[in-house]
Amino acid sequence: MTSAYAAVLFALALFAVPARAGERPAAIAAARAPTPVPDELLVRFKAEATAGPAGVAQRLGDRLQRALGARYAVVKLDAGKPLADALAAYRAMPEVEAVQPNYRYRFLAVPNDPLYPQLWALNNDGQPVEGGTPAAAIPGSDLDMERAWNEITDCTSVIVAVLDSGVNYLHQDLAGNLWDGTAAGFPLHGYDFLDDDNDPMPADAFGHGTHVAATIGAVGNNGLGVAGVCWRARIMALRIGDRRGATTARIVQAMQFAIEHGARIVNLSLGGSEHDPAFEAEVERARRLGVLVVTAAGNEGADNDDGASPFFPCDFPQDNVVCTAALDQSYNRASFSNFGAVSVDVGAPGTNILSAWPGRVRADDLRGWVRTGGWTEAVCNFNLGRLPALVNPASWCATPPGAYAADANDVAYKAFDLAGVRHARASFFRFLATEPDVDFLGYALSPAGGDPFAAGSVIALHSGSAGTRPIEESIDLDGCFTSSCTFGFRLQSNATVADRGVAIVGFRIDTVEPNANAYAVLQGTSMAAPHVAGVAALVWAYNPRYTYADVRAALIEGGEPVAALAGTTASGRAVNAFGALQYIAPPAGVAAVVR
Amino acid sequence: MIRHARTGSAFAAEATIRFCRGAALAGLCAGLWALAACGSGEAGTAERPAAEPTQIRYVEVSWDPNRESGVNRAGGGYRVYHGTTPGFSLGGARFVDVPYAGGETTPTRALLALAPGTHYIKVVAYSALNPAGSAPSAEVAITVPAAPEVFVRVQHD
Amino acid sequence: MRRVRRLALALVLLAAVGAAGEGSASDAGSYVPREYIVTLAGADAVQVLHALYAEYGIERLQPLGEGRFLLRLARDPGIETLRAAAEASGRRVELARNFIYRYQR
Repeated sequence: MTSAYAAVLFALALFAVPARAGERPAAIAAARAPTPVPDELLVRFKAEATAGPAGVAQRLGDRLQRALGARYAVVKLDAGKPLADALAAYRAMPEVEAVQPNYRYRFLAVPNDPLYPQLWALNNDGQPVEGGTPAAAIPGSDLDMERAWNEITDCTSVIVAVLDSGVNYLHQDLAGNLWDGTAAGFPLHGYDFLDDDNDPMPADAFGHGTHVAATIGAVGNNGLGVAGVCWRARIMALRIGDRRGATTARIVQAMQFAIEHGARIVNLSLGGSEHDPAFEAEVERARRLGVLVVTAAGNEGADNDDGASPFFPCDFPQDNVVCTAALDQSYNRASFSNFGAVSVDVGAPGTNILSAWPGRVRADDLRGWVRTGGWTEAVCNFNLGRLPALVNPASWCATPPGAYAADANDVAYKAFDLAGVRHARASFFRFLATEPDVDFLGYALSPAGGDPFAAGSVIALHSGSAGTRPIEESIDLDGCFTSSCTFGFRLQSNATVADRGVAIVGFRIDTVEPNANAYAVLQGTSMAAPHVAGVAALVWAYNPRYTYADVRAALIEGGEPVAALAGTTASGRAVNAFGALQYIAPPAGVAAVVR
Repeated sequence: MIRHARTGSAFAAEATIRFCRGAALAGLCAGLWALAACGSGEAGTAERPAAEPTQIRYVEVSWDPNRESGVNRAGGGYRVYHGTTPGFSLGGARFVDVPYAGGETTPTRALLALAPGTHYIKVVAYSALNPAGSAPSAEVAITVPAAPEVFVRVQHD
Repeated sequence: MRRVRRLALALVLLAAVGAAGEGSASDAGSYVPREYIVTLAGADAVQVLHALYAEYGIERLQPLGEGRFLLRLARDPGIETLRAAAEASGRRVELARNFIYRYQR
C-alpha cells in the first residue's frame, strides 16, 4: 500500500459516517478496508468539553481504555454493544468532536523466499522480472496475496490435481507439498498416464507441469526459490502428455484418477479446438461429484465465443469449469490471451511468470566441440539474426553456399556433466540437405565420454532435405547420466552427389534433477490458470463447507473489476485472493412466518 | 436500553437477538427478550413503533446456514433487514443482528416484532473479514394481520 | 545471460517458422491418426468392438473407464465408415477422435 493511499484511507476513516450495510459493497473497496476492533472506538473530545472522557464513556455504559493525549481516548465498549450504535451515540454527545472505529492494521504476510520479490502476480509493486520480457507495470495489479496470507496459507486440506506434462516432485521447492498417495499405491505422488507407470516425473524434461504446480503450491516461506499461492499444498501430479501435448484418452483417465483419489480441484493448462464428447462427459462427471476444473482460455488472441475458433475445455458449458484469461503486469489482457464474454470467466496474471523448472537448462553456444573434417564453428545469418551454429561444410553460411566433401566421416562432439540427473533431453534445430538415403547425419551418445560414434551408440540417422526449413530435434539422453556424457553429430557421405550439408543451431540440454533449484519465466494462459487454481484451493481450505459452486462464486464475485476484462470475459473481473476469502454468499432459503 | 436474556427458550442457545429501534417494545416482553436500539446509525434514539403495542406480532424469520467459516465464528453473523416497501434499500433500514454465539454454526432464525401490514425481509451475512457483509438474500414478503381483540375477564373475590 | 535470451527468442521464431512449414501429424494435427475414443456400454463391449472393427486391424483397445475405450486401428477407414458400421450393428456406439490438447504457454 502506498503511503498516499494509506493517508487517504485514514482521512476517510476519521470523518466518514459509520459504515452502513450497503446493497452490494464494491469488492475492491471492501478488500482494501481495514478491520475495526469490534469493541473499541477512538474518540476525540472537544477542547471545551466539561465532562472528561471517562465521564462521557461512563454515561454511555462504556469505560475509558486509555487516553491518547489530552483530547483523544480509546473507549472500550460495553460487552455486546454494536459498533455502529456506539459510533452514533458518541457522535451525538455534545462533548465529542469526532469518533471512529479503532482499525486493526496488520503486518502483511510476506514470505522469505528469495525469488518472491519477482512474483508480480502475487504482489505487484512495479518490479521487473529477471529473465522476463521488460514490460510496463502498474503496482497493485495482482492477486492481493499478502492480505490473503494473513488469513490462510495452508491448502493441504484440498487436493489439487495438476494434469500436465509431469511434475518434478523432488524439486526443492515442491517436495513436501505433494499428495501422498502411498496408501493408495501411488507413492510418487501421482501417475504417468503417458508411460502407464506410477512415476509422474517429466521424463522428457519438459517443465510445463512443474512450473504450473509450483505456481499453485511451491513451498512458501522456506527460504528457497519462489512461493506458491498456497504455501502448503497437496498437489497430485498426473502426467498426461509430453512436450507435444496430451490426448483425450490420457485426460479422461487422469480426470477419473483425480476424482477417485479425492482431488477437489483439477488444473488443466491446455486446450484444443475440437468439441470432444468424452472429455466433456468427464467434466460433467466431475461437476456431479463436486470437482472444480480450472482451465486456460488459450493463447491465440482469439474470441472463444465467435463460433469460428472454439476452445476446449474452456468452452464446455459446465459451471464447474473456471476458464481463465491472462493479464499482464498492468492488468491489460495479455496480447496472446483468448477471451470470450460467455466462455471465459475471469482473468489472472499470465505474463512473465517465474516458477519452478524441473532441472537445469544448459544452453550451449556450439563452441568448444571436438571437431573433425568439415565441421566448423560459424555465425550465420538466419534472417532472424546472426546465430552461432555448428556447420558442415564451413561454407554452409556463404552465398552461394558450398557443398560437403565426398567420402566424409566427420564428427563433432562435446562432453556434458549429467551425473545425478533423473532425465535429460538434448534439443536443437537442424538444417539438413544430403543426398537421400546415401549421405547421413547421425547422432550418437556415449556415457564413457570420447567420440560417441566410436565409444557409444548411434541413436538416429537422417538423410535427404527439408529445404531451408529448420527441424526441431528432441533427443532423450537416458543412459548417459555420467559426468562425461558425450553427445555428437556425424556427417557421412559417399563418393557421389554432395549437397549443402548441415547446420545445427540452438543446442540445449534440459534435465530433471533431484533437489532441483531451477526456475524459469513463462507466459501463457497456462500460467494464469494455476494462479486461479491456487486461490480456489485457498478459498476451499478456508471454507471447508464450500461446494464447487461456492468456490466458483467466491473466485468470481470476490474478483477485482478490471477494465480490460469488461465485455471480454463473463465476469469482467480478475481473481483476487483476499476478495475471494472475503466473499460471503447471499443467504438463501429465507422464510418468514407470523407467530 | 434494556438487555435481557431469554432463558429456557428454544432460541436462547442460538442467538442474542437485538431489535432495532424497538426499545419501546420492551414492555411487551419484559423479561423475555433482549431489546436494544441498533443499526442505522441512530442508536439510542428509541423509537415508538408505528402501531399500538398491542398490535405488534412476532414474525419468525429463518434461513439456510451460510457455508463460509467466517460467518460461523466469532465476528460473524447475520443481519435481518425489514422494511415496508418492496425492494427497500438496506441503507437506513431496520435490522436485527444475529451474531455468532458459540458452537458449530451461527443461529439462522430471528424474531421480528412487526406491526400489522406487509413487510419485506432480506438477510445479509457478515464476517470479521467482511463486516459490510454479503449481498442481500432474495427478499421475502410477509403480511402481519391485526391482532384479535382480547377480552380479559377479571374476577373479584 | 542476455545473449542466451536473445538466442532463445530467435529460436522461438525459428520454431514458429518450422511449424508452419512442416511437422509430423502428432506435432501439428488436432488428433492422433488412427485413434478413436469409443463409448459403448455393456459387459460385452470389448467383443462387440472387436466384431465391428477387426477388419481394420485393432492394434489397441484400452478401457478408459465409464464405458469408454481407446481404439487404435492399423488401417483407418475414416470416422464415418466406423460410425456406419456401429449404426448397422444396432448398438449405441459413440465415436470421436483422440484429440490432441496443447499446453497454453
